[in-house]
Amino acid sequence: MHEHELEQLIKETIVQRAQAHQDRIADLEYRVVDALPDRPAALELRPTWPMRLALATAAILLFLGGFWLGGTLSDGPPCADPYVLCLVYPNAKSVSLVGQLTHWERQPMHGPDRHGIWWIRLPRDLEPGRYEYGFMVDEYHWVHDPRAREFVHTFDNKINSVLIWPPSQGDAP
Amino acid sequence: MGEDELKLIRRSLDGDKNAWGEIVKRYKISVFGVALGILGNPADAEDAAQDAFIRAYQGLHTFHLDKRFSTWIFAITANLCKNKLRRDRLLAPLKYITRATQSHHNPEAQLAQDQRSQTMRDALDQLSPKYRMPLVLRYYGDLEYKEIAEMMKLPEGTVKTRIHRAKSELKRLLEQKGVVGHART
Amino acid sequence: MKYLLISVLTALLLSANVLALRGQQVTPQDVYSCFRALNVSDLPFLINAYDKGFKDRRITPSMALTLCQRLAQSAAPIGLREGVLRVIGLALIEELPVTMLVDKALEGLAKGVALEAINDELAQRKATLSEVKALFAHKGIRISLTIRFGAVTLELTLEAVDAAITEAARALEDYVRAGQRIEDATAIKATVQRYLASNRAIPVTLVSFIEQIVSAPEWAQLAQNVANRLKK
Repeated sequence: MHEHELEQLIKETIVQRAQAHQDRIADLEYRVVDALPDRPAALELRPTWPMRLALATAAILLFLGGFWLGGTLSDGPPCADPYVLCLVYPNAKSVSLVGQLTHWERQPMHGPDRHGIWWIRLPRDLEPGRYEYGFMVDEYHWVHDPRAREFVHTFDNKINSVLIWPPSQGDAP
Repeated sequence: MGEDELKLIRRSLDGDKNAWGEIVKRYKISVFGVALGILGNPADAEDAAQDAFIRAYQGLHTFHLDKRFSTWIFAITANLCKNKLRRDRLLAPLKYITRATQSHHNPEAQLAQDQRSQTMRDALDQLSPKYRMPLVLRYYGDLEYKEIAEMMKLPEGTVKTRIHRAKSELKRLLEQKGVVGHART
Repeated sequence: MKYLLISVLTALLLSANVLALRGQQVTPQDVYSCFRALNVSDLPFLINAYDKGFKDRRITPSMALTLCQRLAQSAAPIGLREGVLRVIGLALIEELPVTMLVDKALEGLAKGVALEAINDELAQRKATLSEVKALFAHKGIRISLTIRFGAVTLELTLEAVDAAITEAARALEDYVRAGQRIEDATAIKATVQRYLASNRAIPVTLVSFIEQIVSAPEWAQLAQNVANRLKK
């Protein structure tokens, strides 16, 4: 018996066996959906007066503390800015933006900050359009942008992220 | 992975349970197959498949969208099966031996297309789980040696050796039953 | 005398500026020198093809030089590197838009993809561009065509037609490569229209015109062809 015949027979046997019992999983999707936990929702608190007072004091202290801390906190990457692309990758030694935006040249990103965020600012005069891109982590590892709204498949079935510019309202960049 | 599948996963990440239901529908037969291949018992495989989809939903944020979804869900399934086998081995050491010898009376036997498949099924049942798992993941789950090694936390060489030994053992068992001639490989 | 001196100085400064600008601009000669340095086997073919591309304004010398320089950095055999330039050269001779091909080649090189795979991908995408161009030609969409849409009259430019061919081909390739359903002609047409609308070089009138005259089954047929090529 040839090697590939044996491998084929293993596969066929398992396929047949699964098919023979497939009535067991006929309604599996319904059972799974019923058993799914809810995604952790935000904590719901009914504020009482003492709590409101405590919150207000905390807010004032935080506000004053913000001045005291100075620029250290505000120097973090401005990831909410649509002109900034960010990637959280704490263990990376280097991260570059690579894509149509850079003519597929590696553009090193700033970072990481203390939360492991890498970031890069897009040019202010970016022409409207669709731009494919991704991040090259540690020189060889291709990583997509989890914040992108569109993706396309590319070489080796890897994924390019797509930046639609200008972003429509409510979209991440 | 298709764009629509990516969308389903993204919706599931946002808490859309029906989107996850659609993913379950698409993958249930292959996940069930992996579990059945490893565990050998349809009722246990059914439980494992259900658990795997629930666990996967809970841990969906750890899935990298540029990887194959099948590889990831098979890994979860295989790990659940491994734990189940470990638990069962501790509780009832004879269970698997009993199951292997009982398999001739299984109704599925009537559905087997030929004697070769039936004999292969019995032969697979006789393999130790540590050999059966990599074999199922490689030839049914279509996973790379490297992926199996990562999943089983073993060196790639060990995975290759186990698969090689498993195949030799299967060949021996098939020859013993007289369904194939002697090895020509 | 004073005015003469000022004029001479101004002229000298101006010509110095022009020379400096020329120094920054890439010329076709720079591209051919790069081809030569690569030791390509069929230089006359490449010069001929790219010369046509520069004249037709389908590729700029700067784009071609970037591609050539990146290929020069690759360690692959010269035959494979020349293959990339050749596929794009063939597309230029066939008067196809090449921005998508150059882009894919640069992407593959940046990611360290094997050149065999890059060449295969370029050949497949070139075939798709060719089929979209043929479909558009069959529908009468060509350069200098005047479209009248109610009160709007539009004369199609090479840039607009090439951009439409590129976006439609890119949409079909992306759709099929994502493993989406080839039987769903409506979804295929919607994807193509979405890609067309995203490119500002394609006038809105042309996007609507294409929507009206190219049917969903026609796009689905091209998607099927893409899928067949990918299977090979």
